[in-house]
Amino acid sequence: MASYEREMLVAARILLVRSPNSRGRLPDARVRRSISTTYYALFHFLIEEAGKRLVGADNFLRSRRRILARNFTRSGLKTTFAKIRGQTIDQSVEGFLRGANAGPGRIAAPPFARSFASAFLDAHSKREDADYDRNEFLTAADADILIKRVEAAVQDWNAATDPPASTPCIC
Amino acid sequence: MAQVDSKSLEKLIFRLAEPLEVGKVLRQVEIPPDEGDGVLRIILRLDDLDKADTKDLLKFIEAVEDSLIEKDERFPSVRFAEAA
Repeated sequence: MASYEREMLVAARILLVRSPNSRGRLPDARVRRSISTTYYALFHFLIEEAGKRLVGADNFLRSRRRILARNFTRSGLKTTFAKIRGQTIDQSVEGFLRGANAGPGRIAAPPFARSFASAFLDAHSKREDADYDRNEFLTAADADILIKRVEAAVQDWNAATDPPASTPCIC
Repeated sequence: MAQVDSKSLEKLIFRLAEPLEVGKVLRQVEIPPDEGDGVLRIILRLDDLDKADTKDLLKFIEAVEDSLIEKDERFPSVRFAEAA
């Protein structure tokens, strides 16, 4: 069975497919729905990963993971990602990412986390305009590039992290 | 942290684009008025946008983001449009 974020990315891409007889620009609604759907693919991927790692990945824990997921906020995620996307991370979170044997001085987030953070902030900024501000210009190219970016972010995350344990961690 | 002014930003973007494929088709950089939401919207107008390689455009977006990260507190949200 396809993961939820994969299903959403497929849906986002279908919105950008032109029918054989269509000409000119894609309808604005399809571009905007695609961007919004792509953002939510990344959002749901992230909170599902967090749930699996904090609650456990077993199927019988799905309901509990979804309760946890309801407590993530966009503003919290935005703030967190803004702190780690730079060449060095914000000093307020250095203690969280500093390894046990690391020396003093500024540290950087792992490359996959930096690129995930930038992809999230990019998707979020475009989703806000797609959903709420029709004066902001967005094109099918923006939607297509965003899908590719989110796909790469998910792929890099999966490549860089171990699969979540099936046994619960904190519950 | 300071915010980059529009003219410096335009120069920076053209300089970043120059060695890339996108540099051949980049015609205009538009910076819409700041909305105070922490997002720096950047609209890049290209010739033949439909023919552009989206992977190249994505690399360009990342280059713009990386180059601005220490210069501007806002998150640079890069968008593409067809040149007039």
